[in-house]
Amino acid sequence: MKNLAILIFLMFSSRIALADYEATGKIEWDATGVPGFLSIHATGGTLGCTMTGLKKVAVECKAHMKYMKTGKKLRDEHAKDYLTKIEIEKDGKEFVETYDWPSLKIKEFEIKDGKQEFTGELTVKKETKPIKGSITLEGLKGSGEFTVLISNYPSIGKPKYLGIGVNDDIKVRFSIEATKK
Amino acid sequence: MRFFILMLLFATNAQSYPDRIKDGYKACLSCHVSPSGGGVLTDYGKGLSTQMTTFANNEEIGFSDWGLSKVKPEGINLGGNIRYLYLYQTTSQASRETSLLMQADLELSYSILKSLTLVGSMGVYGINLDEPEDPEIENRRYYALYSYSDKVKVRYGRFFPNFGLMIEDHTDPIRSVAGFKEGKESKNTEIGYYGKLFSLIYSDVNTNSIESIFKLEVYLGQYASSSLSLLRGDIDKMSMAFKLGCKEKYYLMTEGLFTEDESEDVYFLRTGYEIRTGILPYFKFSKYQTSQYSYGVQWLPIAHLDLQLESTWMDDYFDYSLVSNYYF
Repeated sequence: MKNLAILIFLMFSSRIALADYEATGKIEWDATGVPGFLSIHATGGTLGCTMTGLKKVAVECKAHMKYMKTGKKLRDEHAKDYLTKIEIEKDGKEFVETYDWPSLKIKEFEIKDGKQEFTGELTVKKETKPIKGSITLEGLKGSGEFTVLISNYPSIGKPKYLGIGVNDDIKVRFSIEATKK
Repeated sequence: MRFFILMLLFATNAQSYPDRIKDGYKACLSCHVSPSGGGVLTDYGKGLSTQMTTFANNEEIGFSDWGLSKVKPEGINLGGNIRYLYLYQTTSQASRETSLLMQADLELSYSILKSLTLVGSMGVYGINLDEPEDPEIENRRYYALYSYSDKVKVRYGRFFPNFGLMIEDHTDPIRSVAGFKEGKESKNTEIGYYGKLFSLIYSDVNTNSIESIFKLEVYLGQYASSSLSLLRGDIDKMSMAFKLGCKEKYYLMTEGLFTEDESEDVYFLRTGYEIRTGILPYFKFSKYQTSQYSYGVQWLPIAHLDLQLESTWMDDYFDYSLVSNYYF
């Protein structure tokens, strides 16, 4: 009975923490075009995150990529389409299904300064796949990175424009800052 | 005589943009069929030219991109340049104006198989419009390119071998002193590895003055590269070059060409900043026996049009030039 009371208290405490903090951040990624190994650097993505936990925290973020820039306007549009749209054919007609921006869930990790590994899930369009990465905390600020394999997300397809494709691995970097509501 | 020499120096060759390292284009292969750049563009290169202009319309197929039209036969790419120069030169003793059609040519690439591409060009070069003569049609570049993979390529034919920065401006001593003067493409056999971290190219050169060239280019992150080129010939030469780009706006390219005779050494530096899409003011410095300074602005107003206004001075010599280049 005593243990149950403690458990209920801990759960209640966590909910207080959840209600108290939120986080915002930035997200950017690097891809490589082939052939020619051109560097594609995307910036301007923002993160809106919720946090749960007390000593350990789990983070759930939505990556808003509307203002993402890769240095070429047409490439920006293509990249956004690859992240949110799927062309389907039904009864001989073509349709475009539109999905929400990608979301990132980071499983519980310890709140302590320094670098640590994390696991989580990344959802792009209708597919959710596990990811592994690293995160570095400093007070209420954090930054991290992980690698996404495009081939893990068949609904993205194989990005290609006029003969130039993209290497399978995309390096994603993010930074978040927690603030009290 | 000096005017004549300088005028000839201004007859530059096919367009390439090594300064595009600022946009992450470390190698030439994305945009050009030729692994060393210049000449006929790939579909991507043609498409990109709609994206790097001041009045980019953000359309899939931009102005004059008929080369990308659906009627284009599979495996064929047609490119070309029409380049015009107006040059005003002055010294303490004289001055003169020159109008020159530097280049009007076509270059065709034809991929017979997925791995084999044939390329050939044809055109007229260096026509003085003030004193026109019957133009002579020349075939300056032709080669067969075998792609063992995206990374390994072998090329045989007539072209400029890969050496140093490969800047597009053949007027500069960094190109001409190295032996790559306008119209002096050589017959070469070239084998190259073009990787993500570095490229390694060996060229067997068939000229009286150059035997072979070895070039190693290492990519330093996403927006920088450093290269070492060794030229073996009558006079052995070594080039050390560095390219740097930053935030898709700024670029710096520098190269040193060294020989046993220090008085023959050449130094080159060019730096620029894209103040608005397609508008790039720049500053250039070259030193070969005497120092030469240039400043100018490159303007890419619409797809496939490149305008360049430049002023150069050295000792008591001063010029300004306007180059307009239509390429496709």
